[in-house]
Amino acid sequence: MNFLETVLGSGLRIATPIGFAALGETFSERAGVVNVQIEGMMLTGAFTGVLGAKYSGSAWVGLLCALLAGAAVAALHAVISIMLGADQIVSGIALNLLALGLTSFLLPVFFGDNTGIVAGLHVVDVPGLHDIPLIGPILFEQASTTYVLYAAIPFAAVVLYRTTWGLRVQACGENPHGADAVGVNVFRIRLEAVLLAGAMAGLGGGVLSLQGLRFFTDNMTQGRGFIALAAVIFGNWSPVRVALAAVFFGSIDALQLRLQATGVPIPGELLLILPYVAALVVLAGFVGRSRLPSQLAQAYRRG
Amino acid sequence: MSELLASRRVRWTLTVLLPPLAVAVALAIASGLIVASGHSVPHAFSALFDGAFGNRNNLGNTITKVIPLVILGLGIIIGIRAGLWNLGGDGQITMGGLGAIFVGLYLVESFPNYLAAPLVLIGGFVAGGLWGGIAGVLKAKRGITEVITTLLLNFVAFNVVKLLIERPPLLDTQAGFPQSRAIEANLPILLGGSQAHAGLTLALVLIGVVWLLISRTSFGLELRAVGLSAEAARVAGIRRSRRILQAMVISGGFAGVAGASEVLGLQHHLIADLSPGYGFTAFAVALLAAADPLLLLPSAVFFGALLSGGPLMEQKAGVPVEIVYATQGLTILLVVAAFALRSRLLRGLSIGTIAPPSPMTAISEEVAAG
Repeated sequence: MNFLETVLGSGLRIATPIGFAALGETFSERAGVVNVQIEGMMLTGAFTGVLGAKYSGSAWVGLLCALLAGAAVAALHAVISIMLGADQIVSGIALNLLALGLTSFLLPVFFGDNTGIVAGLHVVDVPGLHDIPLIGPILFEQASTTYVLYAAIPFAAVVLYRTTWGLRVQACGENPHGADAVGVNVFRIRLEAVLLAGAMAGLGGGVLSLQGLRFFTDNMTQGRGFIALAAVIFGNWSPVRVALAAVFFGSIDALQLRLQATGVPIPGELLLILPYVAALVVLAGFVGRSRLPSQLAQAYRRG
Repeated sequence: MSELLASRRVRWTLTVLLPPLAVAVALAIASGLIVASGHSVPHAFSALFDGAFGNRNNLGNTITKVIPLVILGLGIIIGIRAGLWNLGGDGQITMGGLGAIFVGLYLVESFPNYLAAPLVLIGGFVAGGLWGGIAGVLKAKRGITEVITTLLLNFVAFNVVKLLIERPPLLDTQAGFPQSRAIEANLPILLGGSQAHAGLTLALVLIGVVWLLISRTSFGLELRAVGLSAEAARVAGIRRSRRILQAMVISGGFAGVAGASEVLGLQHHLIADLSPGYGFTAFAVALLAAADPLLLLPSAVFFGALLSGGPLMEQKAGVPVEIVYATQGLTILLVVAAFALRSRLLRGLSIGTIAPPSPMTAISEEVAAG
């Protein structure tokens, strides 16, 4: 494998958890609800994924647990920010703290000293396709969850732009009073979108812990949820572009890891911050004044 | 008129009662978790209390947590008043520490302490303010939400400082682990036999300063107008983007002062972990205080005691110290949920009886209600 194949291939692997989370967040933000707790939902998913895989012996059961746990955290966010109308940012920060505290608190309770290695997701070469020069090794020598993400991207675009539900989601983020007036239940659509975001972020967290590493450590998401939030903005709230933004950030991370491994004479700290700096730079420079959903982070009240 | 007064009284009563109620419920849930994990609640709480207040040393340790939480909390309150969520406290503290070390090592090394220490604090303010200002510029000029940029900048600040203190000229070659050389300037110890330092005096003075700034100056009024409504601020002729930038710089500057005070009073060196999560704890402190500077101290004492008592609780009662962070999260959740519920109830009470309150007078209550 050459340098480019290695970087882009592992970039896709790193981008997969971020991609799932960012796709879900796209729907929620389109509906007008921001989930700063995406980091906490991923962390919860990473924890419950390992927990489920450990007790069932199956990575797929682990992923299901991760998905449900992410949705459960999202349900708390929905009650506080949608039903009660409290500030979404504050609720998100609180849930991040709660998820970080609870996963670290429960780690020794469930696992003792460490989780040990659990059943994980393995790389599956797609027959035929992975022989294609250049793109084969990059796109088709991935874990099965990455292939699920490939399918999820166009599916998300179709749901958002071509289904009644998707159009209602957009209406709730742009003009909730108008949507309400024509009979859309704004609270319900927002609840569904937030639960979707939670399930996808939880799934992303499960992929993070079960693909490759196959264990859980304290705070293992390391800001990936925040990168996912940046990817949603960089991708301008459009599923395909959001997914590409996630791949971009994943590739930057893969690049810095690769550079560290090859021993370039650049201090490790400067390489480590590359994904975060890249996120700041693209948000500052390449995005025009961002066109966010007009009612993003605004609580909806009837009347 | 009497209905208006009654409604005011209900509102005030709820404002005073809700935060302690939220704390009580959060502690009850935490107790449930302690029981479920097979530990004794009375044992855990007595160890926690002992660890926070049991002797001079432990009390002093709690005070060293209260100091950065108050100073940083003041910065967060200034941000909240201007409608900004500054989540970059950790990075701004660390950068403030870097500014403090730079001033302490290179600019004021031969000055007497009564001159050097204030200048080091100013160095912290400038460095933290510049770091917060990055998010301020991105928000004011490009419309990029500070919620994400401040979070991303935390990771950058941590690694930049780590990079700088791991090698000359800053590295303390005697230490055997990465930390900067020590600075001479210091904040004196207040409570003998403990680590409690004069940063406490500074924090109390700054509470008064911020209270005056917010509630008694036209600048504070304009900040609140910007936070309340972009449209209202525009109509009133306030230059919104300039005020947003100023608020982020001041907010980051306070975090920087907290970092400088950590260096001057406690660490004397700069370490990469200058802020063990104070940024988010201070966020909880500011919210529990309903973004009111005058309520900040009791709120900071509560969270500071949890932080300083936690390790002894783990050691004596076997309860993992991370329960403290879960309790912080629970407390914020319950506070915002309670205030949101309160404002719903009050809207129910006041329909048709009173005119909507003027934005300028209602801000202090409504900021807390979110």
